[in-house]
Amino acid sequence: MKKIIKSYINRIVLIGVLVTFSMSCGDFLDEPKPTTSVTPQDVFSTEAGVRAHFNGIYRNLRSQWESVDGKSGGKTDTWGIVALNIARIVKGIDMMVPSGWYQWDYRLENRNPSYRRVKFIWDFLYETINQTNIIVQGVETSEFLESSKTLLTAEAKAIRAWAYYDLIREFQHSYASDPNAPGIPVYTEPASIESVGTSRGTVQDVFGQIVSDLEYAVQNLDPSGARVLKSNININVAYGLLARVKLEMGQWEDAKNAAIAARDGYSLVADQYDDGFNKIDNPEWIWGFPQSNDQTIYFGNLASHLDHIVSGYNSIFANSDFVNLFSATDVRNLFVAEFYGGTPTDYYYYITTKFVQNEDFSDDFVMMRVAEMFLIEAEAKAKLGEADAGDILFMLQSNRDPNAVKSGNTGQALIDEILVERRKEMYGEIGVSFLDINRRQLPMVRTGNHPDAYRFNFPANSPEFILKIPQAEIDSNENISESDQNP
Amino acid sequence: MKHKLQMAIMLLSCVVFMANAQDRTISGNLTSSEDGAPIPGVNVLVKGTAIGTISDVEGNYNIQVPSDESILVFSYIGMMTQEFTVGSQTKINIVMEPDLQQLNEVIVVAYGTQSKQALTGAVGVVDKETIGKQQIISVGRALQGTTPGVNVITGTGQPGENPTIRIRGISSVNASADPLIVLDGVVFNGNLNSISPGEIESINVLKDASASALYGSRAANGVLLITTKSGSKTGEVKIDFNASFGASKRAIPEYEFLNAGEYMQLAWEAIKFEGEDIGDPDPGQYASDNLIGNLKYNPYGVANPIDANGNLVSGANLLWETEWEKELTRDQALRQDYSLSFSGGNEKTQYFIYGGYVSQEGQIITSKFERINTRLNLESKLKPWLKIGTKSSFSYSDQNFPNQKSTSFANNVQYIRSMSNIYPVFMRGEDGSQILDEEGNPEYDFGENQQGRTVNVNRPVLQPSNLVATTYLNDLQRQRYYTNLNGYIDITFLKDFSLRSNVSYEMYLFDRFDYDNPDNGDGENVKGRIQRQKNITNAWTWYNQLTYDKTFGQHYINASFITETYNYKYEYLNAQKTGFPFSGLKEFNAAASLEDISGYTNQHRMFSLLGRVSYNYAGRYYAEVAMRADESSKFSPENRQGTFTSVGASWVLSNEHFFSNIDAFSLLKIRASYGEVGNNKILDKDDKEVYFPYISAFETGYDDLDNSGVFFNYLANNTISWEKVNTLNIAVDFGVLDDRLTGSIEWYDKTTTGMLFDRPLTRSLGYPVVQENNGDVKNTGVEILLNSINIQRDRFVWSTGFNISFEKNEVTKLSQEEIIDGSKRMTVGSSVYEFYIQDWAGVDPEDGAAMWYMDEKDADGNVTGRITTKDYDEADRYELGSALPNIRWGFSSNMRFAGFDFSFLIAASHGGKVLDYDYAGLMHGYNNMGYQLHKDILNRWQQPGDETNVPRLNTGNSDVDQRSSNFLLDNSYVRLRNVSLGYTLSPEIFGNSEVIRSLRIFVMADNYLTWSLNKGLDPEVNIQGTTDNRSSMFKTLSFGLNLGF
Repeated sequence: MKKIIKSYINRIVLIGVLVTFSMSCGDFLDEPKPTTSVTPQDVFSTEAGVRAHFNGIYRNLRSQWESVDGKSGGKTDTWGIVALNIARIVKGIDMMVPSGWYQWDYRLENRNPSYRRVKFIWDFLYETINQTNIIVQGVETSEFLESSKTLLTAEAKAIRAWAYYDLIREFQHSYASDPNAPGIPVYTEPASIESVGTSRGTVQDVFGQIVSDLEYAVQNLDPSGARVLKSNININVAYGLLARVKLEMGQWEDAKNAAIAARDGYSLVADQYDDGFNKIDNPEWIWGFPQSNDQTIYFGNLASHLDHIVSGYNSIFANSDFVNLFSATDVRNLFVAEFYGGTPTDYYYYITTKFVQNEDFSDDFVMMRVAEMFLIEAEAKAKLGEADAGDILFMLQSNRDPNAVKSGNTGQALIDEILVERRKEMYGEIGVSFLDINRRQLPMVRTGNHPDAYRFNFPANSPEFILKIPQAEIDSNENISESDQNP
Repeated sequence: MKHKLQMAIMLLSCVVFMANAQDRTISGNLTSSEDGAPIPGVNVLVKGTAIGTISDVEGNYNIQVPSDESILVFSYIGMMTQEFTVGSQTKINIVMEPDLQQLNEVIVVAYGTQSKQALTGAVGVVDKETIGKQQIISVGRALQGTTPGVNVITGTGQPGENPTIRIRGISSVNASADPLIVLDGVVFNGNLNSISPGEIESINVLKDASASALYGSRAANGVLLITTKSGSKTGEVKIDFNASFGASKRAIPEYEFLNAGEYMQLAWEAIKFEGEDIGDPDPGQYASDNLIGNLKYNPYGVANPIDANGNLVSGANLLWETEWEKELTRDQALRQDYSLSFSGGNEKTQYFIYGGYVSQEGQIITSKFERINTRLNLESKLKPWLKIGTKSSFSYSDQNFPNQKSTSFANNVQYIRSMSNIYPVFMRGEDGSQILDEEGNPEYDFGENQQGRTVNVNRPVLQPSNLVATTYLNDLQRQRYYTNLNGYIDITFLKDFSLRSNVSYEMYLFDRFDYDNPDNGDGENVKGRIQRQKNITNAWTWYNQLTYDKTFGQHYINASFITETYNYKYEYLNAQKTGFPFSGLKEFNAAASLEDISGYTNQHRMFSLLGRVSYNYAGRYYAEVAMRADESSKFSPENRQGTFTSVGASWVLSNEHFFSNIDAFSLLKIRASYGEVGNNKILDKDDKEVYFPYISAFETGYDDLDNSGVFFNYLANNTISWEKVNTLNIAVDFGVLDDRLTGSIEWYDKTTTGMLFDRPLTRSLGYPVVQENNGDVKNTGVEILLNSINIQRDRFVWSTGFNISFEKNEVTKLSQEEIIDGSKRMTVGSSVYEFYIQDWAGVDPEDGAAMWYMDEKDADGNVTGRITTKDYDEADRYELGSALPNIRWGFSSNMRFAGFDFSFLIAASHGGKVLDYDYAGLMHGYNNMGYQLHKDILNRWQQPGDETNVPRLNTGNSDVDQRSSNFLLDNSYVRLRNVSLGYTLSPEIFGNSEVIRSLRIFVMADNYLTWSLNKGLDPEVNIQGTTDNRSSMFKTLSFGLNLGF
């Protein structure tokens, strides 16, 4: 009996040990796989995979952005492009936010190396650049048809150019002020484990990359302008970006031609101006980003800050001197006085109803409109001394205001008029007032009902107009040191 | 069972001298008083000589004694030592009495038990008595102050949250530094707060490689072995009912804030300076005119309540003043704790059945935790060669967790420290009168803009929000369901072999239910929002352990071979909808539109082979080798295997014959161990485990409307593998004066090599970090443990325990010269949490400006000294100390006098620094208009010549509240963790009734005293020494009773 038990037990032991061992077969350990991510091999094996990466890049641009390591972003005023745009909107002279999320931008104090704003703009745009570099390299080494390769590369390069242009404008004065001033690091290859940071180079270096990318883009993007969504950069947007860049570089002929090419297929529709600026299918919009109730940055939205009717941050006001530039019959005169009460000297006297917030946070937002292209064309032509510059300006003015009267200005007076028209046309969109002060090297003179403490009078190219390089960059880049810091 | 085990582990021996011819032979039999069974292996010595023997398997012994006066000493681990004068007898039978104190010395170790004497590794033990004296929800907290080398930080006042536990310093930075938790022999995957303290027999802390090597690639941060209670063999049935009821409040009072009147006065002063700065001709009037415009609210109800001279105008009276702390926290949070257990059994079958309920309210309104625990532990010997057992438990908890840390708007603690007293809870009209709704009720003020209004609207602080309203109306519920089924079968076969097969299955459901009401707050625009998460963890572990256990003469050998298979699966599911037609509805069916639905699965598998060989010779020399080979699905097939080995040895000097005459030492033992363990738990930025660290990843879910998208968000290093931790441990254990004083002194050197590091890439590369095994960190320390029985009389017993640990943490290798991360910098030679921040240089008495230090440099850029600057950007950063404490100690005392018992426990920490951002935020000096201020701001600079550390008030972006040494504080503290006083009623009171066995009534106080250098800040913040507006520790006072049947 004892023997039987023993052998029986021995058998159990044997089976137990064997069964356990059999589980060690590689399959058991190889079976777990990532369930919500794909590998670079997956992405670059099909064009649809690359398209998905583009979709991801566009979506990320309008997300509740935070860096991969969580060290920058993650706050309402750092949520992607909207945050970038609002900061610029309030840094000019037309819009005011004495208290609220963007008050430090409004005060031109949000520029120190450790500040959230600075880290966000740097990391957000460089992250985008790296994503585009991944596409450029991935497509290059893929087995796609050559024609597909150039099409995909063109779009990636256009996004990259946009990001570099937005970066250089934050961290250095305009190209025209000094092309040899320190620029920002330029990378055209994706980050790898071995990558090291590069030096600031010069503004010229950065613009060289931007122009080369945009020229590649306009030559190789689909001439039909076809795209999946209006968030995507197509040939019109690429031309529009090129027009902006060339205008800043003072290359008027190129700027004019690019602006004309950019507006191909788009026209002014005056009665769309007052429909809330929250619909991407607006025929005037060349480039914009959609949102939906399940893809939104909630109260971070542009209209949450600019609108005062629907509950949101409701924090941005229009300056009285700016409001006074509009005639009563101008469709763009969407200001309401005394919404909260007060007198014309109170900063909260005027609000604008140009932007309407959707209650479900599904507001789309604009990045580029056809009107800007007419204004670039007019400005370039005025610089070139072409006779119809004033006509183009008036074409826009009369479209917006049936009672508009042609000024007949020429030369500098015409250019000044165009600059004012740019502010009137595009206020609250991408920060035209502030961007033009930088681009044209103008002083910043705040008048009207700006509160006393923020009634600035800064000379052109003031250090306050640009951000400092993030401390984290100086700490982590062996080729940039404290001595490379902006003043 | 205990006898057999000890026979196996502890066959003591003696050296037999050649006996003289005239010696007499004494023989006899040794039995146990517990069950009358013979006891083999008892040490029999002739006192004062080297003559000795041990009893055989039948408990018989023979010994030759030199004379009638000889005294025989009978000793056996776990039994009281007895002495007997021989006289004329030739046969001496002894009944050995169990030594209750020593019996506890059989302790649970990795994959088995060992006598304490046989230990070669470092194991700290926290027993049920120590655990039972603390009013804790999460058992991790029981380790604070009770075990040397263990750092426990409970940085929250939310009941049910687990403390951070660090064993012997910090050995990981970007991988998890949490210890491995093992429940009843199997790795635990639930939430530690699912386990009730009442079901725990002991928590053993495995600190060195010898103790933890059998947990291999998961043991680098130490191991907590939690063992639940089991029944007894004595036949006695015990029914125990425990109940307590108490109340809690913050252990340390909140920071002191300005009252509304002070706030208004100082705001005027700040704006007056603004007027001066912009050159206004009458700054006082400027301030008077702009005061309400800046603050937006006017609690005085009269226009320009403060005049041009900074005085309150006559007739101005405060219409309201809000103390937000009172509105958002509980003054008394109630606690109730009940448990009922049945335990008992006989030789064949033992059982332990437990049921418990605990509820604890939190510091923040609506915060609470409730838990129900049940457990059945059953073991039965079905055949002489077959034993089976099960340990099964179920736990349910329900937690309401209003936000109380981080920078979210909804963080109640941040809210209290943001909203100054001048802002009302309820809406006020232009004149300051309360606005009522149609039913005449006040309406909550969200600080929003309102058309046609300029005063008492548009609050500059956290607009739009009102946490008093939304915290009550919204839900943040977390329910946890945890089931653990653990079954085993033990078979003994051949003569010296046994086999255990153990299968453990865990299922843990985490159910999150967040609700934003449709009437107020975040849910208002979307007509209400509901978010639900159902996350399911399924894990099983199966191990088979083959053991060989054999004694050859004075040699004892025990060898185990184990195979283990582990499978872990976590499924995440989240959905979010908005749009409720009516208030009060909270289910998905009632909500109109989908905002989010997402899900994923994580899986981790391991297969491991383990082995251990223990050997001892004559109870004096011990040696142990342990090894574990792990294969994990977390690493690439090339890097997936790791082998971890340890060796340990000890020498029990007190069992040497040359020691038997030294009465002072009842125990003297030296032990040493060396070995390697690993860490495979790599974490992402949200401290979530990374399951495929070697695969670069494009994350899905980045959809652009309905076009699906992916985004590159993980740059992998495909060579990544485990961190390795090598520990050398040397210790002395001792007992003197018949074990009245026992203790140990340990020294260790614990070095992590190939530390998993997030190496920062240059920010502009667009991808921030890569993980690599590059970097070493070394933790060294000394731990001293002393337990003493100071008085031991019939009616009065007093014992004390003291432990202290000294720790040093040092980075010894880095992949780059320095790694700067926020307020910290790591360099070779620094600790892993070394503050590297601007050094505050005080306030310039001339103009009241804040000053910081910067380096003074000569023409060549060499640093020649330090000068001050008023520009924060220019200030240099300096190394200003470590966040890690270097000394921690605990002291406990237990006293029993007649029916009374009194005990206390003190825990202390010295040397760590904390950067108090929360306090910095309260010293903004009006650069954050409307935000709350600390009373210390009253010491501000006001006029030239003022000597103060608080700068001039300034409405600009003044940087006075930026991080600097001004807010870096010494975080040393001493905390009275627990005091309890009890009275056990004498059985006569119940007429020696058969029903009631015992009754004790008690009062307990936890955390009632804290000595800390800092006010407002609870010293238990986080391990990195930074603060983030979190709720803080409780003190709790409870009454209760223990009733035994």
